[in-house]
Amino acid sequence: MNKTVTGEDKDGNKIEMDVASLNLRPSVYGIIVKDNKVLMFKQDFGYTLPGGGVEIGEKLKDAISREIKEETGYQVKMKNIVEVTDSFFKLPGSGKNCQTIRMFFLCEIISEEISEIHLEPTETIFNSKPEWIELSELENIKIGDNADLVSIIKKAM
Amino acid sequence: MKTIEGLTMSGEKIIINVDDLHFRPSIYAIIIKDNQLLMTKFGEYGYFLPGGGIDLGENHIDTLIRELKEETGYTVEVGDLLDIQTAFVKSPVKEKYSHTIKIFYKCEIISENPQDIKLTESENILNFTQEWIDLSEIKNLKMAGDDGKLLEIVKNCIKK
Repeated sequence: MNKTVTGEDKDGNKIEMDVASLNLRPSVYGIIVKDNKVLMFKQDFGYTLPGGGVEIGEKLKDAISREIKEETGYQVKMKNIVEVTDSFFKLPGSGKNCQTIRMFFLCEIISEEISEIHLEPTETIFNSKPEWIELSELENIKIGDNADLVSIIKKAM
Repeated sequence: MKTIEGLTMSGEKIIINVDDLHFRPSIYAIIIKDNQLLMTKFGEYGYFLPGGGIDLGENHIDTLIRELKEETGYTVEVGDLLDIQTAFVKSPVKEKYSHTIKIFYKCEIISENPQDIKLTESENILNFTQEWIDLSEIKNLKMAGDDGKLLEIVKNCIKK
């Protein structure tokens, strides 16, 4: 019998996935705080942190700057690591089974200039857009992520 | 073809084709006891930390506990997350190129069970051993597949 692991599909339903079918997909996310507000990514299904997959041959600091610039328009510099979590899920679209090592870094905005946002088709369908959230409001918003983002953001403070 | 600067296990700089790379997330323990750091010696290649690659289907903390048990016989408690480093490395055993993502945690030894030690074929080929190294000696060691960041991580761990 093949080894399996429990993962999730895009709607959060539990699914069993064959371990041999998993694709490694390291990803990086930024925690950016300014004037007691944290920069989040608002999507139809809830708030997430900006970030995404690391490309092969790409350094983590380059991946995080690229993703955050594409999703929010801000230019950031990667600071220290805050948390690492594991996630097993089925990618919407391609249906690929993925094992993600998710790395959450504290980041700092390095330029006043905000560039144009470039979203992926998988982000535009969820009406994704950046939004600054008051730290005091964090407990009251709907988080659209299986990781405990509120605790991770607090740990970064 | 897109290329990138990488290194061999002996620390020599090489140029790697990005298409040849595959992800290798891995996890390592910093264990300090009586002013000594537990290190892994990869034969002639030099020293690094105990730990290793995260298997498919495995939670990264489970990897660290499993690897420590298999390599050192120590059962450890995983503590603070310390650092993450990326490197592009040519494997010394197989003709493989890795995009390594190394995650470092501070750990403490809970118990010692030498009968748990179980080395892999690659580890045996590399003449893999464990040594306790005086903290003051680390800077003089030859490091395996590391671009000089390890000493900094150990220093930050002590400061914490």
